[in-house]
Amino acid sequence: MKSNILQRGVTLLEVLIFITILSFVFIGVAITTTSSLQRTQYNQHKILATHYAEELEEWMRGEKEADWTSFVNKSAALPGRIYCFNSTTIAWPSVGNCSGVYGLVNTFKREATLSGTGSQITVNINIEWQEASNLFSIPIDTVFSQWD
Amino acid sequence: MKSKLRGFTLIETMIVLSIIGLIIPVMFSLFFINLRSQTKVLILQEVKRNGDNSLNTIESLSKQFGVSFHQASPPLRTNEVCVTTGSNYSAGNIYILDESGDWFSFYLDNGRIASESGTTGVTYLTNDKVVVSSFSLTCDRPISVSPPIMSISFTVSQVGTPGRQEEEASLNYQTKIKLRSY
Repeated sequence: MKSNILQRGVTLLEVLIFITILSFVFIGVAITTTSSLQRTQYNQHKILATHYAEELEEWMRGEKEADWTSFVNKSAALPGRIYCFNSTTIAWPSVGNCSGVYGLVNTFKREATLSGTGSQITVNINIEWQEASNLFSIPIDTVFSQWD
Repeated sequence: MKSKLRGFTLIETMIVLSIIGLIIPVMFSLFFINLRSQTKVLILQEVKRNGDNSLNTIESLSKQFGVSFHQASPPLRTNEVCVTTGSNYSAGNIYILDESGDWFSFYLDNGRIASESGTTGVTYLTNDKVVVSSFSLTCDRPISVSPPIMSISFTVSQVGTPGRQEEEASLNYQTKIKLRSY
């Protein structure tokens, strides 16, 4: 009898408690890791989106510096003209939005609206991307004026 | 009495072990995917930081202080380029003369953008964590009444080849500027 008490194993209840605690720990770690992964993905997309927005802004500035007259012709009075810059090599597309296509490196949608006539043009650049059914966007607004 | 004291059978232990054996690899792979994508973001950040910094420096320095473009140093009237209407220059380094008579220049040196000036020597705009390629500075002058235009373009990429299943962190930069104090 005495040796029987000494050799007592774990009861079902103890095992259940242990397993529950262990699974809670695992679930916790898994949730933290996946959310961290999502955040990293979001960071990466945001860095790229900011770059693409700034890239288009610089390109617009270049177009404006190179030839103001043809730059003005790309614009129109409010609500302006919208262009879709979904290609990595930037060139003037024909007027029209991206019609919901996330074509820029298969992730982003890059649209620019040029409004205003005369010596001042407002450019609104908008980058959009989807991530886990959420829609994110980075808008950049610039005003270009004629200097000379 | 004996039957009440039985422990786990071999089967039970094996089931428990196999479940743990399934969970542990999943946890670890999650952890490593996480680590890898964070490294990727860090690399991308570094590439963008270097590119942004270089473009801003070249752009603002040239715009603020540039007076004329030359194809050799020291800059003289005889080696000035992009003077006449419709002319352009894309053959080699551009030396930019500033208001105080000194000159500065930007060029590619072993994958890094070098900024050289007649007074302060060479400094680098990018660090050794990134490689710059397709660096080009050209000038052209479409209209005689307006200042010459300098086109800047370059590509910044990460150093070394990326690991498998990763695309290379590589960003393009390009812009055009007009000299303000022409």
